[in-house]
Amino acid sequence: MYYMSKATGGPERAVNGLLSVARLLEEPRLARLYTFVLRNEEVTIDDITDGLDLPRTTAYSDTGTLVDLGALTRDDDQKTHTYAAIPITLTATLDGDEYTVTPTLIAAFGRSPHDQDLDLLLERHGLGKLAAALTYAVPYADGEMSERVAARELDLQYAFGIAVLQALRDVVLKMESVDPYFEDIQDAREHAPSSED
Amino acid sequence: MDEERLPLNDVDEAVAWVGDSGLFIACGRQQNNKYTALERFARRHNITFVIPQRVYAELGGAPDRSTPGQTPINSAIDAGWVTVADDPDYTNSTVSRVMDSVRRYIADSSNRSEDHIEKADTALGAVAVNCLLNRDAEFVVVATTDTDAGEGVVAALDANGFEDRARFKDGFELIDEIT
Repeated sequence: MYYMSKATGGPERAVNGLLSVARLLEEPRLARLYTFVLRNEEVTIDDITDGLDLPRTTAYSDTGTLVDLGALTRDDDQKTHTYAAIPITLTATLDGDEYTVTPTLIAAFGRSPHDQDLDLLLERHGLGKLAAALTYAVPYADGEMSERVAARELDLQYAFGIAVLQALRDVVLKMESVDPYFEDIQDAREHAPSSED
Repeated sequence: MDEERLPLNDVDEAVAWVGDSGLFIACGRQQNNKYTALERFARRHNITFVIPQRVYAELGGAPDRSTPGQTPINSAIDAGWVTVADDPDYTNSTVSRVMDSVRRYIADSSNRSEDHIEKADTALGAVAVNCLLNRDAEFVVVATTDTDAGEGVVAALDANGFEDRARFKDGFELIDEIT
């Protein structure tokens, strides 16, 4: 999937992939662009400048960055170049705790500068909390997770927790048909927190 | 707005509307003109949203820069289309049975053990049954974005002597219909 180094797969590809995902989860503008291309399949620079209201120079430089990272491909065969997104999945395991990053988390992060609740969540609690909240938003969007149970287990003030769930519900509803790895996102409904929580 | 989809639109008896935090938060998220739409809806149908004290406390306790922290709940109360419920009589056995039922329902639908569900999570059910017990209303509509809680209240009232007197109105649907 990543072709930063053509000759080798395996460890080199995995670590380069990790760095690409890390970069996407550092810069919301890149995450938003990646999500836009993924949702719209084949897009041109004009589609990007119109759809995301980005200056042309930014659109060129950001798509270039994402191509270099192996997150987008550029089709140079046509007169007008088109871009397509490579669906990304990355599973991180740390001392038995596991999380699978998929395009849905990237979409949620990309939305954060345009959503005061996600923005505040990231500012106060960081990306890990956003990722954890997403595992609750998945069953919540299906009506299978109570708002207050989720807010309490996420250790968020109740009303703020509800606002975060509602923000992520929008992301989930938009991404579930677009993210090929959607099913790999952990579902908090299946994992009750341990009793000391 | 599609009037046909309004629950209990065709009954002559009094209908109480119990509102949950998520309904008000969803009105305020992104563009808060939805809040005006909710007020207009309430006025047109002569509805006063009754909110549990817990809901009022939740909205008031939210961070200033979050959507709920900016929800103009106090001006809605001043304007009269939202009112904070009196504390239900928790010693009343019907109230406590309904709350227990709601609790079991939420535990089951969120796949948690019952001790993960706090009694306060069932405040919506307590206020709903109180509206019926006090004969303030013949029917009750629970407007919430929390499907588990909304369905749980209806199931609990059905199972405790208030069959077919409660409806769950999905808060997201309601907002879509009125905007």
